[in-house]
Amino acid sequence: MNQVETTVRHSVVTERKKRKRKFNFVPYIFLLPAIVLLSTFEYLPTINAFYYSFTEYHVLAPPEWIGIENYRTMMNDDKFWKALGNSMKYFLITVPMIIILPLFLAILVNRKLKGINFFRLIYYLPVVTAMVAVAIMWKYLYHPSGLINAFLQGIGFENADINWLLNTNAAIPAISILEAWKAMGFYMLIYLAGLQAVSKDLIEAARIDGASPIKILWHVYLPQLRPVFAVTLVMATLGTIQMFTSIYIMTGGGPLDSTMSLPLYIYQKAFVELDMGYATAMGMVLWVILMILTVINYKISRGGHSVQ
Amino acid sequence: MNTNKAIRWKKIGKNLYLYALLIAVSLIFIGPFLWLLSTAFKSNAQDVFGFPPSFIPNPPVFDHFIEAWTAIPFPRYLLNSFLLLLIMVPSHIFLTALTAYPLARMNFRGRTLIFYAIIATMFLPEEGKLVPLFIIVEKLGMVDSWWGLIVPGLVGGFSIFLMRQAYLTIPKEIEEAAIIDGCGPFRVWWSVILPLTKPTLAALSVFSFISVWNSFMWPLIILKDESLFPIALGLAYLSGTFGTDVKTMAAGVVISLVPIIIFYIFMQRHFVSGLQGSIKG
Repeated sequence: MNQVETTVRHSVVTERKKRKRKFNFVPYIFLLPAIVLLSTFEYLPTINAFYYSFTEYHVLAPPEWIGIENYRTMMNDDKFWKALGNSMKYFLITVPMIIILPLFLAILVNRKLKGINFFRLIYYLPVVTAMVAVAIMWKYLYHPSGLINAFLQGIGFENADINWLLNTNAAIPAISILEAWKAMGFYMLIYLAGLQAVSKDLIEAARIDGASPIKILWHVYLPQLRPVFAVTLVMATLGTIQMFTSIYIMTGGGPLDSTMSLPLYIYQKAFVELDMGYATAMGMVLWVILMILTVINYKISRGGHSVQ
Repeated sequence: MNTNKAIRWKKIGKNLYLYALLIAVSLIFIGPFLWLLSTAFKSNAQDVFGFPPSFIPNPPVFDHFIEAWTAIPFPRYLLNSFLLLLIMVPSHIFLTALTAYPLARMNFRGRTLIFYAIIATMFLPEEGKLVPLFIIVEKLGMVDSWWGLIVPGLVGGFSIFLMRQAYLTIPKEIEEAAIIDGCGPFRVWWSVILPLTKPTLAALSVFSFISVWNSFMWPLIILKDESLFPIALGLAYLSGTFGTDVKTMAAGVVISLVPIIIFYIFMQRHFVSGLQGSIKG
C-alpha cells in the first residue's frame, strides 16, 4: 500500500516536473523574433544614441569621442535655439487648439441623431489621409490668392492678401492650423469615448436640479473627463513637438529658418549635412524636453488629485 | 393633439439647427478636399486662384488625371505602396499576435520584465534614435532597399500592448479545453485563441494599413532610388518638381487619396473600436 502510494506520488512529481520543463521554453520561442527585432532596432539604437551624442561622426569615418563638445556647440548655435523656440511656438499654438476644439466637436456629435455617424466620419477624414497629401493641399489653400484669403475676404477682411507661408510671422500659425485641422477628428473620438462613459444619471440629476448646459459641461462633464485630458495632453504634446512632415512639405523650414522645427533641423544636420554626432546630441535634447513636458502635462491634468 | 404637434415641430426645429451646425462644421473638414477635387477637374483656361473662389470646374476635364498618371511615375508609386501593404501589414500582425500571446497567457520567468521592456519602446522618441537606427540599418545593408523599410517596423510596443489586452479578455477555460484535447501550444494559439481576437486584429490591420500608406519620414531617410518610392514619398518628390502645375499636382494628390478613403469607408467600424480599445487599455 505504502509502496504504491510513493510510486504514485513519485510519478506525479516527475509528471509535474516534465510538464514544467516542457512549458518553459515555449513562451521564449513565441517571443524570440520580437526580442531579436526590438534589440536590434529599438534598444541598440537608443544605447548608441547616448554614445554617438558624445562623438564626432560623419558616417564614412568611425565615430570619434569628443566629450561634451556637441552639447557645447549647441549652446552657441543660433539655428538650434531658433528651431527649439519654433518647436515651442508650434507646441503652444497647436496644443490648445487640439485639446479644446475637439471637445466641442465631441459634444456636438455625442447624440442620437439620424446620420450622426456620417458627420463623425467626415470630421475624422483628415486623420486617415497622408500628411504629405494634405500639406500639399494646404500649401495651395494658403496661396496669397488662395481659398483661405478668399474666405477671409468673404467674411469681411476685404484686403486679406496675406502670403501665409512666406510671411515670417504668419507661417508658424498657418502650419499649426493645418496640424490642428488634421488631428482634431482623432481627439474628437477620444473625447467621445470619454463622454459616453459619463454617467447618464448624473447628468439627469443635474438637469432636474436646474443646471444650465454650460454648468453641466463645467461641473459634470469636465471633472469626469480628467483622465481623458491626461491622455490627450500627453499625445498632443508628443505630436506637436515632433512636427516634421508638414513643415518639410510646406516651407522646408524657411523663410529664413522662421518655421524650422527641431526635428527638421535634426534631419537636416544628420541626413543633408551628414553631421551625425551633432544631430544625435540634439535628438537627446529633444528627448529630454519631451520627457519633461510629458511629466508636467501629467501633473497638470492630474493636479489636485493626490489619490489615484 | 395640438401640443403634441407643437412638441414635434419644436424638436424638428431644434434638430434643423443642429444639422445646420453639423453641416457647417463638415465644410471645414471636407471643404479643402472638395476644392482639390474641383481643381483637378478644371481646364487649363480656368483660374485656380482668385476671388471669388470657384468650386465648379467649367467645363470639367479629365486631362490632368491622365497627365498625372502618364507623365510622372504615379502608377509605379501606387504599385510600390500596394506591395508594401501586402508585405508589411500581415507580417506585422502575425509577429504582434505571436509576441503578445505568451505575455498574456503563459507563466514563465521574466514575463513582467519582458513586458515592461516592450512597453518602454513606446517612450523611446523617434528623433532620438533616428541616426543610430539609420546606421544600424546601413550596416545591415538595408539602406535604399525595401528591407530597411520593412524589417525595423515589424514589431512595435503599442500593437503588442493592444494585442495583449485582447488576449486577456478570453476565458482561460477555452485554452484548457484545447490542451486537454491534445493541442500543442502553437495550435492552441493559432486555431483556438487567435480567431477569438478578430476585432483587435482588424483594428491593428487598420492602423498598420494607414501607417504604411502614409509613412514619410523613414522612407525619406533610407530610400534614394526613385523607383522604390511609396506613394507619400513620391508625392513629396513630385511637389518639388511639379509643384507649380497646380492642377496636375491636385490630380496626383486626389489619386493618392482615393485608395485610403475607400479603405476608410469600408473599415470605418474598426477605426472607432480600435481607437476606443486603445484608450481603455
